[in-house]
Amino acid sequence: MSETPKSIVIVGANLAGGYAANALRKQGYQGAITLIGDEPDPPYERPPLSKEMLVHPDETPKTLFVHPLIHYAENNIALRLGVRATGLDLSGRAVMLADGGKVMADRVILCTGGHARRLNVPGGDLGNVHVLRNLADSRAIAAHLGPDKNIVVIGGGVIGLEVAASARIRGCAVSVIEAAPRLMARVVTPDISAFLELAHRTRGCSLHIGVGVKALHGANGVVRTVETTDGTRLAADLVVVGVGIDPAQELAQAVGILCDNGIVVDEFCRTSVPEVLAAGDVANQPNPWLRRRARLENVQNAQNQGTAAAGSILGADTPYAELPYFWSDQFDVMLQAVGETVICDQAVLRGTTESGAFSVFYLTAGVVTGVLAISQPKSIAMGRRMVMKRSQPDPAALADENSDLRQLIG
Amino acid sequence: MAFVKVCEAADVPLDMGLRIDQGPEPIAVFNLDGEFFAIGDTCTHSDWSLAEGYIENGEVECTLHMARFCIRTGKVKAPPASEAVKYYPVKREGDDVLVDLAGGAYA
Repeated sequence: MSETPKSIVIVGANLAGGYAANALRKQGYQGAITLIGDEPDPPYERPPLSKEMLVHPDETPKTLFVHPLIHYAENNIALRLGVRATGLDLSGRAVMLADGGKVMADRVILCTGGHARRLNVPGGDLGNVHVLRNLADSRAIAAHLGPDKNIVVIGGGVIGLEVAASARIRGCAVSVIEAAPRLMARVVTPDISAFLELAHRTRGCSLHIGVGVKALHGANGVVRTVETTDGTRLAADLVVVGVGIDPAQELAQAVGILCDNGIVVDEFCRTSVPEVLAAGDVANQPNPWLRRRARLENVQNAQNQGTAAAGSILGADTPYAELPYFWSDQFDVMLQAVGETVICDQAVLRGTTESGAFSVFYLTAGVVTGVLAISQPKSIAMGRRMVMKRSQPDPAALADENSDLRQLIG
Repeated sequence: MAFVKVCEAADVPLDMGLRIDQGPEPIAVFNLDGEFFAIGDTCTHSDWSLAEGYIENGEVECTLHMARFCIRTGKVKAPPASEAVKYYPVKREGDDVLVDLAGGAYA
């Protein structure tokens, strides 16, 4: 394994894959790099898909493509776009493509991401029922938004709530259906869920929380109504399903690479097969900050883990240890969260929820293990450092809005 | 070279940026151990004020998505940004901090 590979193939022309390819070149790798993607576009950032691109469909967001196409040519990174990788040939050291071709690969980085879950109810496959995962999804949804349109969003997580906010801003009547008893239940505490619920209700979204979807009803093959488990019928010109992703682990599974809620990797992004690495949404990796294995579905992880996988191939000996971070913009509510923001001994509120700008510091055994901020980004910059330094600030000082957070990092 | 007063030294404490809106683009003035620097204020990744950022080791970290820029040169030090911001010539005259607002350049 110590010899330098002659060819590296990255499956997934997305954020993780794009960062991996660029990192290989930046770190001096001179062999062949091929980036394979089943979409027609080079790597792009997904955050604008549920926000800027829905609100301003006629403008290209400032941050969409990681690099212009010319960048890949200039850096001798071969792009194979619009073609799906269909298999790994481990003994033949190649990646097989849907067009019948194959690409030689001494090493493979699987950045295959996830498949947006669809709705497994009657009518779930009607027209105008969309998931939101890629550019084409975003454009299709954006084309349906406008005043007098009834939009039903299924799923009150990050994607669902961002779509709901964008659709409201476009003047749609918006309903959100969430089966769990509260919004964003997987990643925030009940008080934050309650804050978000109020934020969405006061901005005109109709929320149906703790109810499921029984069926979608349509006419001429197109959805017209969403029927919930409590018998409510909601008119729908468009349904957006945001109920999470399943890791796209088929390529790995097919050749016996260990998978368990994603492709299982070690702290160097290595799978159970030495020549194959994985990064991004699909990679299930031990996380020292969460003290458990995790499959992080966020931007920071995609770019940094892709970079780490590249480094690992080239012999880097630093284990990857990403402190989880995600953000979500919903209307004027800017939510940022770092570290463990659900499990804690003590949650210290800095500011008031009524003001619409506040932070919560999560402490376990006196140590800051996570921070969540609503429209208070400086708290995240400081809080991230507290988590990394395992700071033990005085909770009363944290709660005092006049205290200098920088002094509390320690 | 047209240097104009943008603020006084005391307006820019250590570890804090100051956004100035007097020129063709907003700029951020920083104080690194008593020496003053100015760079373009708008993060090239997502529109956000770098003056609001976290200052560490001569770099400013955008509080939105953690892109980092060199305060002396405007160069990108960490993704997700990939394009530099401009740096501006700065002069100190007594308590006044002067910037050549038309003199922005990429390092």
